[in-house]
Amino acid sequence: MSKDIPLSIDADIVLQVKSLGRVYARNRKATRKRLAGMALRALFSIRPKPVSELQPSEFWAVDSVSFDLTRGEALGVIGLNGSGKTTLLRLLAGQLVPDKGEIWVNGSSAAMIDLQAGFQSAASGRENVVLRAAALGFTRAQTREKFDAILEFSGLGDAIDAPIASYSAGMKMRLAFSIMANVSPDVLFIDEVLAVGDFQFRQKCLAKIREMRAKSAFVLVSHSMHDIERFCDRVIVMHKGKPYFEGAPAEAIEIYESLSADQPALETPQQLARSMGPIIENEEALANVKFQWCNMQGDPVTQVAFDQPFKLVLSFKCLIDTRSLIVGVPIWNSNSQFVTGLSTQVTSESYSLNAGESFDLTIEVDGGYLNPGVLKSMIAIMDGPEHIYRKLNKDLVISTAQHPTWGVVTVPHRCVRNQESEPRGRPQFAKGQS
Amino acid sequence: MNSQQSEPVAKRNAESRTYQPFDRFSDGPFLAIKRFLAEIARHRSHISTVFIDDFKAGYRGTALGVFWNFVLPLVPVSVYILLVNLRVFPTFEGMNPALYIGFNVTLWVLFTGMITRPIQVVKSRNAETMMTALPMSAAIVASFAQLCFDTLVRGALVVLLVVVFGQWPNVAIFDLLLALMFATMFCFSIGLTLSILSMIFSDIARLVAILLQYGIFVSGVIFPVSTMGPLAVLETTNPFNVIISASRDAIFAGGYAHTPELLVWTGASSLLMLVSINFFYIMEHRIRGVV
Repeated sequence: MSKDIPLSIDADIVLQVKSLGRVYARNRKATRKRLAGMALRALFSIRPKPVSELQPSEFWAVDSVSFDLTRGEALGVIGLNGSGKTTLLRLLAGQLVPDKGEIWVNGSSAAMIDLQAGFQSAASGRENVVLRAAALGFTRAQTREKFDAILEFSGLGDAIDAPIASYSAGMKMRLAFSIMANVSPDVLFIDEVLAVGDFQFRQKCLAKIREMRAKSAFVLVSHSMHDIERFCDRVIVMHKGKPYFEGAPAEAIEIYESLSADQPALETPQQLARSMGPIIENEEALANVKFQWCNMQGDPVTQVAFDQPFKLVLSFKCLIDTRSLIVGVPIWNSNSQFVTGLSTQVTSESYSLNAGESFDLTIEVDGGYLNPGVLKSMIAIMDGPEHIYRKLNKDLVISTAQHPTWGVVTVPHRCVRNQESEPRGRPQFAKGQS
Repeated sequence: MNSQQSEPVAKRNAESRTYQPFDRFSDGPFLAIKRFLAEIARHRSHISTVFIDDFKAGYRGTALGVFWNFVLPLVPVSVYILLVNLRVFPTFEGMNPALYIGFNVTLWVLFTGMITRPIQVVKSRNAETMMTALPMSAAIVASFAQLCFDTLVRGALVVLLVVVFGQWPNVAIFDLLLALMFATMFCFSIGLTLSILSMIFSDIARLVAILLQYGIFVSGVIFPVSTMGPLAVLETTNPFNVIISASRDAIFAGGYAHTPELLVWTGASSLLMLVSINFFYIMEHRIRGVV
């Protein structure tokens, strides 16, 4: 752990994560081999090289995670089992060391990841309060001062003097949360533990979390989509160790619910960048280039419903004479799959512009074709074969359709039942209906 | 309920900090020692709480209660004292044999404990320290508190033997301090290093246990090494023999006969400690989660 402080930082940011990664191995031998190499270097204080190659049994349990968290914000982390949520939380809590990337924590932090952690099962609840509080830096005297408040919040009553081995998972959670609620750190990491409490205590915990939000930030891992939607401002969907989606809770939940274990993980940003090709910005050719996704009313949007039309609005000033100006918008999905392209060439349009002339263009896209997911795109402007501008566009999220979708696009189609094989008349299905 | 920022946590880690893959590698041994000691100081409350809990765990649920915490540490010493009184072991060096063996076994158990305890603690508490983000150093020091208590109990028995047999000390304070410094640095360094290595190479813990079982017979604990024929060469080359004979002679014989060798061992142990604390400090986080 070092005390380096990022050069430019928002004062309210309490947690900043950059390109975080952690390698795990599927067998002990690979883990021990990597550790042995590191131990040899540690003996001589030789800094290891960054992890570049993985052994066959190794994999990135967490990869390419980046985000900022400000005071009062609650970030949800959801994903299928084994998607790297808990490992991510352990990294953030300082319980594990990253293999790449960086975590900057600006203030105190505490974690509720394992209910059993720090508890001695043979000791009573009372003794364990002292133990857990001591692990958080409290002296016995300070713990005694807070003990009544902890006991009252936990609602354990006389059970506080029973060995913790006799506690149910819910009772342990009550005790653990009650201690943590008295700590009130700047960042609190919570992993699923609220799920084991009974309904009333969960409400109490959630009310406490709401109260704590005035001063604290939260990272909450949960499989309860209700809790995620209710408490989180932002949600990261983890899939196979990588962030699959980051955005509003409702969209994240829709994407999470459409995930399946055999769905491929996201490519790394570098791989996506390779698919997208080079960035070109010829300032001698174009100026004031502006572009954005808009709804049909012309308002900028970052997401649209599956069946709603939308458009790309583009404007720039041409600084050179062009004879055959073409505008294209190649589109990829978040798995780096090339989905489709929008282009002025579709209508065989190319434009001749004189230097100093302004250019405005709208490309309208019908709804119901691009399947739900995050769309990544570039704005490509060419004069004949020469690229004079290629730049990343903002992501556009296509939200879930009212019917199932498959693949990356839905082509217009109709299902017509052969009337001869059906004696009684049945309605025809329009496109996409199931 | 108090919704204010709690002081201990705020003090503990309110400052901003960065976690990077290999940040500890470039800190160097002196900064490693400084941070190692700072970690122990920061978690002193936890260390004392764990010690008290471990102490209570020693007798929890028993009829005789805390009595066991005073009896059990005396068992290894009393067994050897019994054997020497039964003339199983010879008498030697003009010192009362019960006192000789009681003193030697007390030191042997203390200093070999400084090797075996870190190995046991790292193995048994690795998962727990990962879950709580507590430094492993705090868990090791908490186990040393128990070791120190056990040594005090055995020490009390040794004092009793001194009084009973009238074998009054003739202390050479310089030699004694040098011997204790060497012993602490050497055993602690070996313990820290092996505790990490045993997480990578599982055989180490077993090898150490076997070596120590044999080691007690060639370290001047039961027989003086000088009486062991060809093994007399271990007089100054076996660090455990140097630790025990130097400490014993410094207390009862008015000085150790091999002070230059003791100085060499102390110097070597200082270097070993720099390397091993740095090694432990770097690797402690890395072994978390390894089972």
